[in-house]
Amino acid sequence: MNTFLKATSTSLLLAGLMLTQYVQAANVHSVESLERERASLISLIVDEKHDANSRRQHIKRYYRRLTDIERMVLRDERLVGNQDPIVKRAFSSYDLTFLVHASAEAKLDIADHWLAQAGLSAATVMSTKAGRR
Amino acid sequence: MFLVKPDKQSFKALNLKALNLKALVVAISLVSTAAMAGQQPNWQPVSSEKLISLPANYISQTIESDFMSSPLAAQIDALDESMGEVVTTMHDLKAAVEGANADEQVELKHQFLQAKSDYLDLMAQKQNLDQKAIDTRRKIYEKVLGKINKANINANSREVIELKQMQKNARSRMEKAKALVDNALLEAGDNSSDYSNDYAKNMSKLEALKSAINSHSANAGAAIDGQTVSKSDYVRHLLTSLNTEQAIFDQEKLMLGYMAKLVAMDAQTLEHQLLASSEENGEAKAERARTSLSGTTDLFIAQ
Repeated sequence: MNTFLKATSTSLLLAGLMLTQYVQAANVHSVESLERERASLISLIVDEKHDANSRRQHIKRYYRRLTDIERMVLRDERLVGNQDPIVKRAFSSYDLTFLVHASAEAKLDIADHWLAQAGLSAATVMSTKAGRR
Repeated sequence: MFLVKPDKQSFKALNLKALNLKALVVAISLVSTAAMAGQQPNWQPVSSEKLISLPANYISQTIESDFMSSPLAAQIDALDESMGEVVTTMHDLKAAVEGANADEQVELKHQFLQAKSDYLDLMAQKQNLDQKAIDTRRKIYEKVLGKINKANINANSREVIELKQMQKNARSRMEKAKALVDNALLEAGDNSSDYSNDYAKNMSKLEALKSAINSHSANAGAAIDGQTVSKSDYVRHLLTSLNTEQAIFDQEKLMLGYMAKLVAMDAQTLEHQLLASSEENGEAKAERARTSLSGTTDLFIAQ
């Protein structure tokens, strides 16, 4: 009986650990999801089909979703110390990755914030010349 | 040395015993090699990947529990049981030898030596299996220690420390900007989402679970002599304990060797006693005379 109980408790312990490992397994889905949303937002920012007003309306729709995804990534404990390149890249540039929170911190519109971080300002754009290469 | 002179029949029996004793000497000399042929019971321990995820103080318990349910442990137990029976027989024989007459003494001494030989044979088998168990334990501890050290090196690398610091800073920046973002959402008339609602609900439960884990007895750090130690220190301590066990075990092997030698010497002495008493009786001389050259001369002379 004692041996049976011992064997059962060992099996339970191992099963519990396997489940813990499964739950804690390196998972970068949240970062991948953020990257997809961010890429879609940046496409919208640089899309010349939109005027300023239309662009602002479209960006609004991203705001809530991006807010949640950015918080998911920042609170995801499985990403702590994760050496996956996508994780390293995401956290090496907070201002470009977490656009909603970084733009709020900088008190700028998301698009303006991204353009500023990418080094694109009205002055730099105006200073460029069109010509043949 | 016999108090009663045996008759011719008894001498034949005694000669047979002498032959048996010779065989016994050879058998005992083989015992010290302890090389057991044939199929050996095995022990396939739990993988080191599973072990490193365990709390340190559970590692040795899990290995021991795993060992106890292995065929190797079952075989060791069976040998222990057999040895117990042989020891009882040896005690009985020892007592019988002391109270027996000369004739019976030879037979009983022979049986006693045979029992000692059986015991040593079983002990050699058991030591062989015990050594196998120690070697398996050592291998698994070394593997676990290697993996813990590797994980520690990775966790303490400059890259990981820098990344963790960046993540900590990012979280801190997010917490500071959280109110600003929430205000912006509120102004836009978008004050909640499934994620934000569920996250807030789960957060208190998560904290309660974390707190239960932290205060759980199974999560207590391993301790050596009352001092809490790291997992790698604890596994190193287990390896050191195993080396101590090995040192004692080597001493026991030496004891087995000495015991085997003593039994061999006892057997040799008994054999010499039997031969000497047979010569004293003159039977050996008579047997030699029967096969002497002069006894066959008639065969050559006859036409």
